[in-house]
Amino acid sequence: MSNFSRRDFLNILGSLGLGLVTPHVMGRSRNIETADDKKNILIVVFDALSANHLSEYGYVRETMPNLNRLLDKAIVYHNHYSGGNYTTPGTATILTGTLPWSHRAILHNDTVADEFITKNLFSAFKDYYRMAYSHNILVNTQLKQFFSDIEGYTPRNQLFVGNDAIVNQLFLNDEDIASVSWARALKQSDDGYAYSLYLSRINDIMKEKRVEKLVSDFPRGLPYINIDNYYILEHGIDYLIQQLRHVSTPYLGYFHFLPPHEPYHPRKEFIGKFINAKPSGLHKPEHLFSQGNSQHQMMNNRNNYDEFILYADHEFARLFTFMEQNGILEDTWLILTSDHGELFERGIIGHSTPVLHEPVIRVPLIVFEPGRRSRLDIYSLTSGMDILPTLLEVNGYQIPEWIEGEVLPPFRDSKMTSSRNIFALQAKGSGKKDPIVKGTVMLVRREYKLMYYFGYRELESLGRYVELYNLAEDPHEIENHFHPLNHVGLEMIEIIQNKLEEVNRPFL
Amino acid sequence: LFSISAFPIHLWTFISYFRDFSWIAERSNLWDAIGVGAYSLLIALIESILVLLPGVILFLILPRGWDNKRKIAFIGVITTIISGWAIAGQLYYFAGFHFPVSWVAAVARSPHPLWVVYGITLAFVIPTLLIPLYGTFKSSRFYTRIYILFESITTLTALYLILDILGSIILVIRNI
Repeated sequence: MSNFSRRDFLNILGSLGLGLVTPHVMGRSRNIETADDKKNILIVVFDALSANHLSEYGYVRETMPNLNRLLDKAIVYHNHYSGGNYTTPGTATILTGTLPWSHRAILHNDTVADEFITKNLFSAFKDYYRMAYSHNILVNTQLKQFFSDIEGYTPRNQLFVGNDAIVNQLFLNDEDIASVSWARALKQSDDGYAYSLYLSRINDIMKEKRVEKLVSDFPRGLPYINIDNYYILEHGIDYLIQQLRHVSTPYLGYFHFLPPHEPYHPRKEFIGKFINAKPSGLHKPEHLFSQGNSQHQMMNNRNNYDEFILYADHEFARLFTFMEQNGILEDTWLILTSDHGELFERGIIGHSTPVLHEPVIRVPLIVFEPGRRSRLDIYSLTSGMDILPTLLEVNGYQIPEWIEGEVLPPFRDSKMTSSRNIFALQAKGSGKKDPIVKGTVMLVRREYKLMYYFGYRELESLGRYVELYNLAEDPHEIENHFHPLNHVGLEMIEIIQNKLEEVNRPFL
Repeated sequence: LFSISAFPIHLWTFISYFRDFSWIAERSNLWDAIGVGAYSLLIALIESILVLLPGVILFLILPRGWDNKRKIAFIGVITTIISGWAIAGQLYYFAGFHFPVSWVAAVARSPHPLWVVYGITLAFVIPTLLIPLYGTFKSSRFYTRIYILFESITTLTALYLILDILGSIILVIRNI
């Protein structure tokens, strides 16, 4: 019995079908007859997975070797962009099929605008059994809004090794800040100090007991969120596999896993894999919003991040193999994507930044179409908001008017013109009912990409600050082509300003 | 007794919280930063009550012949000094203090490094605890002065308790 692991427990839980009766772990179970014309949908989001760090998208390191082998049956989108550079706007764009200035989940941990409570991925598939799980609390904030349309909502703590379940249950309406406060008060982990003098010591001892069995496989420590909510991805994938074994069809699943989001703590077999493989083109000019990180710090973090992607890749392949071997892929749309990317250049590490350079905003989108036997590469410009209308289209639903995204090629190519505007927004200070007066808007149009910074006090002395790159000639975004007489730049600025004026109008 | 238990716990909570305040506000917003303060005060209040419990038990088992002032001074000295050392332990990280590498290496080289660390720690902690306790045990002047000192702390702790109540109201508002 001493060797009985959590994984074993989850396996037994699944085989007994207990998940289906556990209150709101699997939620309100519903038996739906299989509809022939409707395929299952499974969206797997790896948080902070940058397309620029995947070999399939041109990165020199082979960070997803398992995925690469699976792509001969996939549709690979090469120019896919997230709606924002962090979880709240990026995820809401996927879930609502709209851009951040429409769904309004722009502030850290914000919810979407009330109108989207009934207009989202889950409400759009009413005939489906809908299930969702996320490691990331910012995603749970949004999922809870859609609660009435999710039959199988799994609380994030359910799959943590040690957790703050009590806090989150007590303060359901304030989960994020309750969790942060709990962490700062009781967890000495990283900083060595906490607000509490005594309870923090007791908490440390209890925490060590909980993780000691797993820690030998993770030399940098177990992956975690909020200081010591430890998780391992294996538990998440095991749990998802168990759901797929038992869930009613057709189903819609949204599973949002944290790797490779920081802290970058992979399993031991992935550590040190890239130490000698240094990618080129990393020495980029320091940005005005540089955090002051040295090349050494950025390279160290990049190495760790890339290793963490290996871990995600390994587990995704395990899920894929299960689905393939059990014939699930034959009637399931499997979507692999991310909510935003990650940056290790220009003095910046991570994604808490006003900049919207490619690594932090360009994300993978890989679609495994039921029954597909060949690979298809799509180079059109696409956005996270396109996923929802595409899934509706391919499953025979009408696309509602409130959706701003377009159906992805090859499923309907007519509207996906070469002059399509792809926007992304960073405006972390904007509340739901405020006009957006400070932030960064990215516009990609044809081969050009423009970043328009506005309202930053740091940039006041510069007047207007804009970056313009030709991505076809300069994919690393080294040479800023913008100058006040550049007609391409001026035209793109005008598009952005008109858009901002339009979206701000109701809030002025 | 409660005031004495609550004082160092709340003091440390405030120091730590204000150190974090700006990053929390930057992470989300001012209201959330205030929320973290409110939760922290709630935890500090619970911790103060938990620390009070052994103090109350000790109060009940101390000799009946001792007057209340002496008992409170005696227990207060224990609580305050242990809390003081707990603060010192965290201050080590808080202030980014590091012992010289040669000291650490010398301890690491010893056959039982943990015992050495505990031994050195106790060598500092025990006298700082025993000497004032001896004072309260032996000298009525000493414990009276300690008692007066604790009384003045009580005024400050009352302010902390008001903030605890305010924090609880904020928590209710945030969780409605």
